[in-house]
Amino acid sequence: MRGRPQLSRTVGLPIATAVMLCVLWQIIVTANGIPEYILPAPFDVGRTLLASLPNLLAHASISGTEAVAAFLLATLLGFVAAAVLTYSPLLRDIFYPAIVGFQLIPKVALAPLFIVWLGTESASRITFATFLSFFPVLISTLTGLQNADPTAVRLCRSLTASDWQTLVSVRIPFSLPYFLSATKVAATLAVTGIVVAEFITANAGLGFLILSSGPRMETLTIFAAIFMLCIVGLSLYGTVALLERAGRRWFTGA
Amino acid sequence: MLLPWKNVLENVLFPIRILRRPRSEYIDRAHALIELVGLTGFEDKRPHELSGGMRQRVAICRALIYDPDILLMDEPFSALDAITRDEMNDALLDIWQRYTKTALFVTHSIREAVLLADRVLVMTNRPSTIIEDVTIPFVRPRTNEISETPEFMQICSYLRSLIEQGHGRGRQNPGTRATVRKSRVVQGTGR
Repeated sequence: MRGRPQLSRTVGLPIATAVMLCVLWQIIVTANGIPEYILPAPFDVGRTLLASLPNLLAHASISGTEAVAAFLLATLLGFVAAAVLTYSPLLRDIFYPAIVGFQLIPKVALAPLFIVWLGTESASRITFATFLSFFPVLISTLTGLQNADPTAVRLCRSLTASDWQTLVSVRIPFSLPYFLSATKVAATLAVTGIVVAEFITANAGLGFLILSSGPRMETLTIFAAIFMLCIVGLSLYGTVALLERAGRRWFTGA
Repeated sequence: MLLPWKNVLENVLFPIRILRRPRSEYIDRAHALIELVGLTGFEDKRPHELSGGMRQRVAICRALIYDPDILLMDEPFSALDAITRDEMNDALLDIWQRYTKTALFVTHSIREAVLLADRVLVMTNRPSTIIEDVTIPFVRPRTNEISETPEFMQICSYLRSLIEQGHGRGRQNPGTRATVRKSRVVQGTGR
């Protein structure tokens, strides 16, 4: 059997690919004399990034904080809602079709409504991003709670366990892998939600920076902001993915 | 079925937690049960690190930990290979010797029924009916070796003929095909 792939290969190869792409990008821009306001070269993006780092970090920390808040709210609410729906068949029958319905509509289209209802402060952006990332957590966790090993649920019943005991000692642990996969989706959607909301109304944040730089043809700033956005998204996703791995390890003991 | 996120000891103690009994009073019993089924040293292992037979033994310990009045075992060893199954039968005979717990045991194996039980109830299907109640005379403690004796084989063939008769009757029923499931042999190892 083949052992663990070498670190130089699993880490080195993707980095080499990224570097190659940047070099290719630089060559294309330089060779064709593409103007900076259409497509800036990676070298110039890097320079702008360094030059306006404090400013970019300020914007990034605003978007990042809001995204983390939305992510935490969405995972907490999604989890609690899933637990409630698992234990109330009535509520499940009332709400489940609506929940699936919400999954099908493009929720991004509802962003302006949140601004109308909740104002232009960060509360409305966080609420919208929470709304966006809540559904995958709810649906996935619900599936996990309901798909708990039926023999384990029967074991609980034969031991006269209460509904609460069955939930805590069997259903929740069994739903954990489902919940954890959903948190990765939620992490991505939380960042998306904040940026979309910032496009609509904000006076700071990376989404605001990108949108306001557009009409001024500050393409360099846009690229630098996108780069920062990638950093924010990757850090949130990476943290969640690490937690997910730890959770899975706890679950299977592998 | 064991809980994959719990180790052997925690799986065995699971009923104690659900029944809200004091854990400290059952730790020794858990270790004794684990020793009885030959899993000492595996207390910290997770289910995925155990073989099928070992998992089944942990499940038996879990069933015995809270001292239930009766053990209900529905084809507990049907998924195991023949050799492991023999081992499990031996383990079960040991456990019975130690705790003399009444068990209602459902099996498709005639041999298993005769080896373990004091009483075998032969059932036929469609409709499920008890067609015979046979007392098994072998003294305890028993071992696998009694299955080599002529008496043992005689009882087995008697039970087999009962089951075949039961199926024969089934075939005469309209709509019952020849591929009916094998009749279940129900046995209780009584006190």
